[in-house]
Amino acid sequence: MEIILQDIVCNSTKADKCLNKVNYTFKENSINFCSGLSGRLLRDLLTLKKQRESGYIFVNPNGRLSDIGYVGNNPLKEFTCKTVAEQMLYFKDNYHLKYNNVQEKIKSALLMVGLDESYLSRVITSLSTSELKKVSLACVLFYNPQVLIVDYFEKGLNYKDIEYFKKLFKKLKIKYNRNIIICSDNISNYLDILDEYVIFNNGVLEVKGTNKELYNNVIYKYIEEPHIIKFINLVRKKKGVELDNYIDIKELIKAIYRDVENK
Amino acid sequence: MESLVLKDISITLGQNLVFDKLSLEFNKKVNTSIIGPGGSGKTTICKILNGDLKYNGSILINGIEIGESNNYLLEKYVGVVLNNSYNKNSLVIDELFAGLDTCNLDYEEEEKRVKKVVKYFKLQDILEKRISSFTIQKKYYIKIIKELIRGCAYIVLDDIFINMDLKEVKRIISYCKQENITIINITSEMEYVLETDNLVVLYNKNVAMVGSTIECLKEEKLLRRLGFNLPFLVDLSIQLGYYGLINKVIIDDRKMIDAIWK
Repeated sequence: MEIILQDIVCNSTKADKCLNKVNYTFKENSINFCSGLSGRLLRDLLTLKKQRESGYIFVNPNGRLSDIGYVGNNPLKEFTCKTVAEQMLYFKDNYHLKYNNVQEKIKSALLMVGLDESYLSRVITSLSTSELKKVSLACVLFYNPQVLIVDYFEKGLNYKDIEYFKKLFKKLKIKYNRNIIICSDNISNYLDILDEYVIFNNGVLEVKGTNKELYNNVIYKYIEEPHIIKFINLVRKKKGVELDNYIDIKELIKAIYRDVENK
Repeated sequence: MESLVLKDISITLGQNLVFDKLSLEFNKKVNTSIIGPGGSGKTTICKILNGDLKYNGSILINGIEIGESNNYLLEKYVGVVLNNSYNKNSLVIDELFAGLDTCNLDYEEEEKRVKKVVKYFKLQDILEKRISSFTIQKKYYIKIIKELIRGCAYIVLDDIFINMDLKEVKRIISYCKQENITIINITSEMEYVLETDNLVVLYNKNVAMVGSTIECLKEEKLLRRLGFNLPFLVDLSIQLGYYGLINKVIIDDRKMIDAIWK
């Protein structure tokens, strides 16, 4: 599902919740990294919870409310029910989902995020931060949206979990043609899966590009530079060694070995 | 030696046994990071130290066991910053003074402390702004400062640094060093463990590993098996060590480059 923002204006006192004549397209079937823009604002604009001051949003093809899935950094805010099972059934009723086998759908949503059905009876407030995030994502996957917006999702998750979810996002994109919009200030975690990036600052689109343009210094005026990129740039500057634009530490290590051995 | 000790702590939340006789010792002036997989009890430690949860076992501060009659000592010595929503509508200046509410200080002392943190953390321009208008990063920054102003001996941070700018993190660490406040940093971001002297790894309801940060990080295979990555430079040092290019762990980019291209 393609999302086209055209001359969008939104006013807010918060820098990440305002947009100043923004034109940008979140292409379909892609993983977008988005920084400086609240994922919640994007969700609210798409689901008409928030009205823009001016401009247009085109969604292609036209969809339903349940086509927009959102997982926030503080999932407790999003839950309205006591247990995980109740929350999933709430979505079923809320979005008028007509599933033949609801229990199977619930189990498979939990399985996709690496949880088993024992979580169904768990009280939401008894879950740890990472469990909350996983359950929150499972709830969204249960209603099977076309677009998945994840807001600072990686915060509080450890490496193994982050890698697991990156694989899941890739699978959702490749196998199910879903759009994933990752809103975060930490691009390091997503270097190997993102297709495009867009960076906003105070409502202005400052820089955008593809996964081939991750060594663009302008990006890192606004967000923290991934350590591998910082390191390679420093090697070039300090020693004049022209290492390629690696984003994988294993490739970097091999390149360093080759360079040192050749000398 | 001054210390904060958790001794034989067991706790069950709902149906889940979170800790089974967990014991940990945090010595004064030794900053510690705590890592662990999801659900391993990192936040539970914070909540116990914040007095929010009942547990079996004991907490000792400088050898004195904390009980119902002297629970105030825990609040006095240990400041806890939880990773929960902080969306107050009050002004920054009011929040800083509110941080001192339980300290029983006279107004002059309160003012002195507020002035000190305002100067150190360069808050002059935002004193009259509302917390609710800030970004998440800024909110957490203020939340930590509000706790630091109390001057407790220990500050426990529940995965707070991941929400903040590195510059702000460094400033907080340097303030704690200057004021002799010991940091217990619970974190999911491995880069931050390098900011502390010791590392505790939680796993399976107890402690899997404890020791100096660098020595623990050298246990690369164990850490990876538990689901952790290594900080970039530590990973690079260890992997280049296998190629015979580096023979120690280096955690400074420039020193690393000089060691590789001599």
